[in-house]
Amino acid sequence: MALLLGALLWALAPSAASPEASAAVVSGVVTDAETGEVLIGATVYAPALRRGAVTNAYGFYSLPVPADSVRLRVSYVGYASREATVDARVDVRFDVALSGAALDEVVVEADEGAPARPEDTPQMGQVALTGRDVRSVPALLGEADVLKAVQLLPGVRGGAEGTAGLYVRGGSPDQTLILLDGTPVYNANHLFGFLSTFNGDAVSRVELTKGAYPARFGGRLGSVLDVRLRDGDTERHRVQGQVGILSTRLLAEGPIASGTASYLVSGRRTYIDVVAAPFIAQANRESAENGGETVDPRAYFYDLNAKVNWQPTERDRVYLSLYGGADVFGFEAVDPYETTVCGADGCVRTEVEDVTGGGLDWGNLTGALRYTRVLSPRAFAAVTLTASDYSFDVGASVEEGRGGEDPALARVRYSSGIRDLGARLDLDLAAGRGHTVRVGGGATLHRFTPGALSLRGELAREGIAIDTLLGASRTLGVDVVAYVEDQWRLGERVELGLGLHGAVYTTGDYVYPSLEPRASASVQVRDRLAVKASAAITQQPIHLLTTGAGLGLPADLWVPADSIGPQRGAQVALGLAGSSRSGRTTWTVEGYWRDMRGLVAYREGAAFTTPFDDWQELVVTGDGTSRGLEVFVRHRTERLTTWLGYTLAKTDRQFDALNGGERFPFRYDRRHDLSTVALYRLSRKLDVSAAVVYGTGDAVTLPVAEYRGSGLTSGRIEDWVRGDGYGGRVTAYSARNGFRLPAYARLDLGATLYFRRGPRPHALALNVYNATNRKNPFLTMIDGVQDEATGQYRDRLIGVALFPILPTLSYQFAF
Amino acid sequence: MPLPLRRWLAVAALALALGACDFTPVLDIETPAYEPVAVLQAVLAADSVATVWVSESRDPYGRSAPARERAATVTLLRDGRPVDVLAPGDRCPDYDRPPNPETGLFETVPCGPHRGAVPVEAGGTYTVRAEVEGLPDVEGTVTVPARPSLAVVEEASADERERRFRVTLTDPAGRGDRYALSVLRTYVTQSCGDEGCVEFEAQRFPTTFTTNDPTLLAAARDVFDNGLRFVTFPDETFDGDARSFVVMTSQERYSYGDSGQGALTVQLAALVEDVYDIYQITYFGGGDDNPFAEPVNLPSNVVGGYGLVGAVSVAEVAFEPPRARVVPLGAPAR
Repeated sequence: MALLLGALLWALAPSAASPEASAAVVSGVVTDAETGEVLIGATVYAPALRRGAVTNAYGFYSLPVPADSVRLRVSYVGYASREATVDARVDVRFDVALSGAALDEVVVEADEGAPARPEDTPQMGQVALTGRDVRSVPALLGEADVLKAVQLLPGVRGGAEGTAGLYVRGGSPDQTLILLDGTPVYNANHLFGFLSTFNGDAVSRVELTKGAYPARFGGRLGSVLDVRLRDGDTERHRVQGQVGILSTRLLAEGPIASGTASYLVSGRRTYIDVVAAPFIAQANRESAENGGETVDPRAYFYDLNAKVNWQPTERDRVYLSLYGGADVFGFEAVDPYETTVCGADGCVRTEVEDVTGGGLDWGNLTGALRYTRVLSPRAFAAVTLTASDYSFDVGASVEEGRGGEDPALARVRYSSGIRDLGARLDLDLAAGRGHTVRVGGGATLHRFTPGALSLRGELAREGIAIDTLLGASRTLGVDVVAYVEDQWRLGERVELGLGLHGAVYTTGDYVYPSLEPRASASVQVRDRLAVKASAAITQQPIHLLTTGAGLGLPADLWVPADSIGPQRGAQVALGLAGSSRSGRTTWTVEGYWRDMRGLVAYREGAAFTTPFDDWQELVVTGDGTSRGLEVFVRHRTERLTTWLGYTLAKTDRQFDALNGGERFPFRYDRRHDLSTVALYRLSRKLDVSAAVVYGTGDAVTLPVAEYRGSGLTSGRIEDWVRGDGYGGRVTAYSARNGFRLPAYARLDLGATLYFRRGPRPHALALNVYNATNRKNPFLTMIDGVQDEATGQYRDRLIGVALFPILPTLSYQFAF
Repeated sequence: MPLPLRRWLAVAALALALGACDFTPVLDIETPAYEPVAVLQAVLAADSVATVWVSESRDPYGRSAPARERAATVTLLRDGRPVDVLAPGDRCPDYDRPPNPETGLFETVPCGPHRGAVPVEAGGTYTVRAEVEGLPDVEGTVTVPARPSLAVVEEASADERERRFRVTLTDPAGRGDRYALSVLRTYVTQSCGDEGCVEFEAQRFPTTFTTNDPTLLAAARDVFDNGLRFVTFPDETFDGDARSFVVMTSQERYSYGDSGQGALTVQLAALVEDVYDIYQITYFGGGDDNPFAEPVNLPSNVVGGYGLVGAVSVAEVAFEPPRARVVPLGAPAR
């Protein structure tokens, strides 16, 4: 807190020592001219000074300039840039509204000298996608998906085919901090990971920072995915949506008070259950008429976003952002029959039923209340209160003879979850002398429920009743953080990004403090070419215990670092960044090295299904390294947006208790990874898009032999010595992840035919996922096959591809 | 229709045509080449002769018949010098093959373990080497743990159906031994008829015990019938310490033929690391049967093949049960 106050006083106090300290500051907010929404990441650049600023997450910028009139150019990808001369003899507020290209069919790209070019910022490994980018990429099942779009960036790959997990620079999914309007999201998956929880229509901007991420973020080892929702149109009401084969999306937005307050509500729900309901009901009726079984399935997911944005004064804003989403899968089967019950009065026939059921539900609730204030032209403050709740339940039940005299019940339910309450303060300070400072801090209270197993059984006749709860202990953790960042421009060619993130994580008797320095530097070696370097130390006080299959199943458990200790990491990166003269083409080449300590994994043979009292009994700890080279080229013109990413990488793990202590490849180690995306406006009515992905196959562990085992399964030493019990089958496997599946490759195509463009478009979208119908294995299994020549059966290893060529149509509308 | 649109549609149609050939979701994946090797399974025990099972591995994708024991020349070496040549095991009829048409008899094949004649000594380093016809030679080496230091004293119990034992074990520091603790009861079965009762050969089986000792309870994941049967400890549990704790046992009966008269033996076994690990993995982990777990490679020290040459060393203290304390049949165990 002393750090915060010191920085605040430093920023607000007159700095007479420097000539520039007496200069003026131009500050303001950049917005969309049509909707009034703030634009995040817009650039405000003074070409004569070769200096600029980028709007923060609330659209605010602050640019110190010499006390004189100054020519400013304000630009944002996809919008017409604006230039203006500002009289800056004193501090001046300069708000800018940019017109979107959709209005006039003209896309103005990054301008020469604009600081949005990668060589002009010291930050490395950072890529931003607009909501429009996300919505334009060809999509699985026609569902525009944030995480799937991010997977097309270099250094990022998904998990199993079609899933939305993020494996960034060799890290596991938990090592990426996913923020939705500043609130952590612990499970960003719908539909077993095939879709993410982010509704593409509501997304304003997505920013992924892969390397040494800024000091204002913390708590994760590797990277940050910052997803910002749109604020809602402050000028007019609008409804837009999409009807697809899987789900329907609807978004409504508009002013609450014109120009000062707006709302945005969006929702999405699958409707396969609704469509199937009449058919299931008919089948159940027919079955019931014949005395057969009836089945009531449940299978859907939904999510809702709501955001209210209120600007009571020019300097103050209040945001309330809410998200709720859940996946619900399950069934209940009822099998009626008659039974005869005999008593003193004779025998009577009674109708009873057997009921079996099961379910798998998970969901997130998040909320953020944020107040921002422009304290002065040099200082911007944001106070945020956040809450999030992630829960997961899986259960099964069998009830025999319900309605009769001798019912029996067995029910098992497994629950886990994590709940957070947080508060934080962030200050952005244009401190002069080439310094742009950010300071802040906060605290988060975590409540973990790693896994509670509820068992219930009743046998009426025997009078037996069991109602037990195992592993239901809840663990509290408190995370207190403070940070300071300084983006420091040294002359015209050197810029430093320095930061320090301090954290103290406490749970029970365990206290894990950390001081995490972050540093980045950019040196302009010549026009439009910079050498960049970055380094960071990070600590992650929570772990994600993942299932062996690594499918991003919701059964993955979030657990706190207590006796096991936190994950600790270090990473360094070195690279080049440049752009073409026009600024339409930008490129980066980055080499990185990551060291990860304190990683956890299930010990040999264990999984979340293994009964336990303490999750610590099931895990072992180890280390990991990852190194790679990433190339990213992006080109934008009026009609074309395209990028190409290539990664050469090697990622491995070393656990003393796994693989005989030998180092082994990470399951998603991908030596070569190539992805390229092209979005092209073919005509006024037609947009087309394509994406190509190629990557080295996953590393898997395969059986290499079978043999008869020892007798070490009984609890009797005599048996071990005599070999009694000898004969059980044992499978010998290759070294862990010592075998490669076939390479992954995919071509996706998309086309959007507009019946009407503009702010209220109507369009028909065709997406073809996996257009070449390549069989990319989702899972592998052993399958029997008969040899045609000999007639003998033998086993073979097969890969099962989940998604063949998959064309989908969807209709997008707005009014 | 504008020309670019037609071009794009043509490309899309071509891609669709190319992609629409095969909609089966299955693809064959080439598997690693398979070579059969010999398998050794043995747990050497101090003061006992070696018992070694020799078999042959099989192709995990081949669906071949289950691997059977193989005839082999099995040699026991101590510090590199042969000390024993193990006798081959029994031979059994091979019912997997048709009988000899002339004799009508089935051919016989090896069906038991190879057995040694020279007792193994605690602290010795032994190698089991097997030469199997048609397969590469295999061998595994292990050092038999020193006999664990165990002292057991029976204490008075307020409950006459309960017996209390104060167990003290001392673990030398840095030796890396793991331990297994159990209480065995000699199981004597009787068969009574018109001509009187006949007792069959006694065997020892672990009996349930309980404890309030936090170290034992922390280590005891194998709770059985609200009690403990067999408790294993990693090295760090006792490393360099002398620990004393009390275990309580009541005399349960295994079956209606059980006389309940057997002696009680507190047994402590020092285990080498591989034996401990295999027990942990197979007993607690579920091994291959857990679809959510990563595949498990059991520890192996067999060079050139699979399996394990492990070792244990056992210390025991036996107590005869007073007849007065025999629990009537059917009484609940505590």
